[in-house]
Amino acid sequence: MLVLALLAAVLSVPEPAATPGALEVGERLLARKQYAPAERELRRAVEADPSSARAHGNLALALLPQRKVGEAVAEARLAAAFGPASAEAHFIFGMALAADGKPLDAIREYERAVELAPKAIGPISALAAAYAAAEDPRTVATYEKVVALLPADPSVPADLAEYLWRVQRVEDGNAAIERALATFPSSADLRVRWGRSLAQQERFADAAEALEAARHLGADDAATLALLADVYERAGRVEEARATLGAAVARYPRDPALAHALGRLWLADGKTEAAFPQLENAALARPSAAEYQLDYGRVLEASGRMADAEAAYRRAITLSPNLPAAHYALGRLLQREDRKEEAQKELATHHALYERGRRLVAAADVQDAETSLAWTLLREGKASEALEGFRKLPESPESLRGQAAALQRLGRPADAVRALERAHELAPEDARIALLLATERATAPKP
Amino acid sequence: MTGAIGLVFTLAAGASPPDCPITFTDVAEASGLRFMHDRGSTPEHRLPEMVGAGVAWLDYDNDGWMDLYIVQSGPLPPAKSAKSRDRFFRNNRDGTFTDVTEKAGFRDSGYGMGAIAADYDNDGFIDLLVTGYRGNTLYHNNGDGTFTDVTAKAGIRNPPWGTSAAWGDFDGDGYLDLFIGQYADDTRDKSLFCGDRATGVRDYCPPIMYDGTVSVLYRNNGNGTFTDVTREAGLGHALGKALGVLFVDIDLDGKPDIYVANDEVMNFLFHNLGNGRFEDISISSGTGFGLEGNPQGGMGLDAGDLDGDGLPDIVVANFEGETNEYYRNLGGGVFEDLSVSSGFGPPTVNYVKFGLNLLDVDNDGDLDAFVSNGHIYDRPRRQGTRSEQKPQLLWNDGKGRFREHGCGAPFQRELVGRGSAVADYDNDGDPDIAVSSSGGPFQLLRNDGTHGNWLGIQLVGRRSNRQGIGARLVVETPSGRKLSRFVQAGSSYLSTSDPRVLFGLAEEKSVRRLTVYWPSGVVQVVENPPIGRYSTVEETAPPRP
Repeated sequence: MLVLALLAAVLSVPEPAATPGALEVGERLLARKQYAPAERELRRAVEADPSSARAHGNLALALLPQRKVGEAVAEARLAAAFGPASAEAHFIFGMALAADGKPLDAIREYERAVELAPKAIGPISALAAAYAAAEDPRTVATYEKVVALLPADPSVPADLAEYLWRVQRVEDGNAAIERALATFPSSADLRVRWGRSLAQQERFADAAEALEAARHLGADDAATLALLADVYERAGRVEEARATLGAAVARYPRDPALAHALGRLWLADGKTEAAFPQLENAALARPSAAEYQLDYGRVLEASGRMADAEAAYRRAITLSPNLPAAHYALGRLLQREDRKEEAQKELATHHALYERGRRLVAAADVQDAETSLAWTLLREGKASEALEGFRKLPESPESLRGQAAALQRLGRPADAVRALERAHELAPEDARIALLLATERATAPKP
Repeated sequence: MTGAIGLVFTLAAGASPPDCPITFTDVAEASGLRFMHDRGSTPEHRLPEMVGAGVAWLDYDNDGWMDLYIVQSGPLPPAKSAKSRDRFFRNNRDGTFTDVTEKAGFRDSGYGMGAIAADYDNDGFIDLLVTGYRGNTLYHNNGDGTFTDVTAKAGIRNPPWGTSAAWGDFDGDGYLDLFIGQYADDTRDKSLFCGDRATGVRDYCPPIMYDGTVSVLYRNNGNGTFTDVTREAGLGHALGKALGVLFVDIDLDGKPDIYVANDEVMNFLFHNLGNGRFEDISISSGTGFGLEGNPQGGMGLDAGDLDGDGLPDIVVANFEGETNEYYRNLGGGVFEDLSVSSGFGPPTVNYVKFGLNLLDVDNDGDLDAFVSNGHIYDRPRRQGTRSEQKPQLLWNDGKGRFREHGCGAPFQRELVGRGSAVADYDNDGDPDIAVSSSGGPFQLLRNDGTHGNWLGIQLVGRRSNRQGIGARLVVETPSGRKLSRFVQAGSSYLSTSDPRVLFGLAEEKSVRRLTVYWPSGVVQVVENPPIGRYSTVEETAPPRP
């Protein structure tokens, strides 16, 4: 979508007076993604006509992929200045600003571009995505406009659904994707995205159904099959998971991830002989993957090949010294071999790593639940309690955003702005906070 | 002791069961056991609501028939009303029970968790510990059909949250000591919200969000009082979230060890050193974690000789997405995880498992397993998963391989299963099962059908504790088969099973020899004990001076 937008921008910038040779050559190179040579030609075009919006805009487009963001912003700014009525110029400027970590400025330019060319796909698509990143309330309406402009493109309603899922409007997202599926019943991509979301919602049976449908529509790439097998397994349908992976391994015999997943399934069911070739293939195909070495060790151990198993465990530990399970497996094997001192060392390492991990997970979960409580209190109209809850949390963009919301509810807009300013300092790239800060600043009474 | 003749003898020793040689039927209602558990649900969804409760079998009046104590939980906080009391039922010896709660003097209206019965003062009458949220109660059996609350007098302080408990004579003085599992520190409960943040609909928070606590070991002073010896015993450091506990002598040295199933924390195995202290061998034994080295959501547990080698193996019920664990005892304090390869674990992976009992359901001589399932969440996130779940029966093929197959309508009924306890309540020589459900009805699963022969033993200790808790019994049959069983008080989840030992004998028509390894160290041999009935074996050694 973005590449198409870029090309559209290149081709439709209005024709000012310019040196046709350098500009045209530069644009051709740009279209071929030869950015450095395109940059050279477009700089010549700019030298030849310093007031050409088209030359400045295309030069910005050549600079962006080369990560020359500062220069791209400067060129795009000039394009917009010299082409104030050019939707493309504002669109390019918006893209450059977005790349420069200024999402609100980017939104401003996209909005200008959409005003100038309401039916141009690039600007309004970019605006919808930018609104979505900032969780702007206008996101859904903007996506719906894109849907109206691109009625044959199933990816747009899918993007809308994914936005809704991301902002916890799960039911709305589900409704959006179901409407899209009714419109595009033969879109495999839509069904894959639906299946992925259903898996995240832990609706594994529905996810399996969606992914099976996608598979019948041609989505039988390795990643989709692996996902399908995973949801079957999580749905407790291990036989179907194994059948899916078996078919996937047959189709993609060189994919070690599939072989590994299949081998793990067999091993989890105590079927060592079936697991062995898969886990061995995976380990040989990707010797740098610690998890593969670990599971290879497990199947070797289950087959009674203790020395080989020990070697595999040691390889896993060398590859990933902080992998607790590898230390545990090795420690247990050594214990069984009555090499108690070595075993103790490995098991102690495992225990220390596991304890550290457990504490981190517990702390993160607790903080999440405390944050949830504060938001719930706020929703219930208990702003003072919510504020207290947010303040007790460790300082983070999320806790500060909550504080700002509570302060705003308590009629303390200046304090809300201060909280958001601090949040913005901590997360300058967070478009949502930037937008909130801008809104709060605009509405807070001036001192 | 009332005996009963064994039923038809059709099963060969160790044979795979046909589809259902036996059937379980829920006879609770017909037996007069009408009990509805109240979890005391609150809008806040507090942690204790998802934990309770258990049941205990005990023959309180020594008539040879097992009576039943059922723990009530809610409301929360406790209302101290009669409605929230636990119930106690006397066995009428005809398949029915009578509620004798009031008559027996049980007035516990706390937020109950578990019930663990044993004769702690060796007076010949079974006493009862009831664990609870914010308070445990120790009842002394007065021997006249009534009980007295002796908690304070006995020195049982009230730690915050007692769950499962077990009785065992860890110091070998002939008196049963007490280990009370402690669950999590839930003081953080009020500062948490779990559930759907978008809609504000609450659910229970997972245990990982709560800090662990230290379980408590009480030494029986032999005079009706107890002393907290947790620290002196070397257990004071062990921060866990205990839901299942038992005494089990893993190395058959006569000194009972302690195993603890913790929720989302490493399980503990404390090896009894014999000097009043325990050594933590959770990690080196291989019983601390699951197969891949992860801590699991441990709930109920049991110990028994699953593979016929004479050593007690340990099984643990775990959370959804995890298998039940089968730790095979290799001797020397080392266990091998056979959960997957034995088939014991995989059929259980989609359930939230709580009660877990090893029992020989068809008397073919090997131990099978009953699993009581039920989710902890009101609205389990995983599609197709309900709070109410079916129980499971895992059949041992005699070679240590298990196959899941429910027999009877109770295995089709979905409830939020919790504590379960086994007893031959009708004295017909087969194990029946009492099951508690969270917020649901109590079930009594009567075992009917075709069984092998059997031998029932009740121990009476003289030098050992009166019930012979901790004893090992070994039967040798004419065909040369050896069966080992262990006497426990407190196992599964929050529950107590029948302390009598029931040996399934398949087609064996006699028993050549019964050897009792008493906790006192006395080894007593009984030649040709009669089968098809319960017999009492009294310890030959004289009481301690």
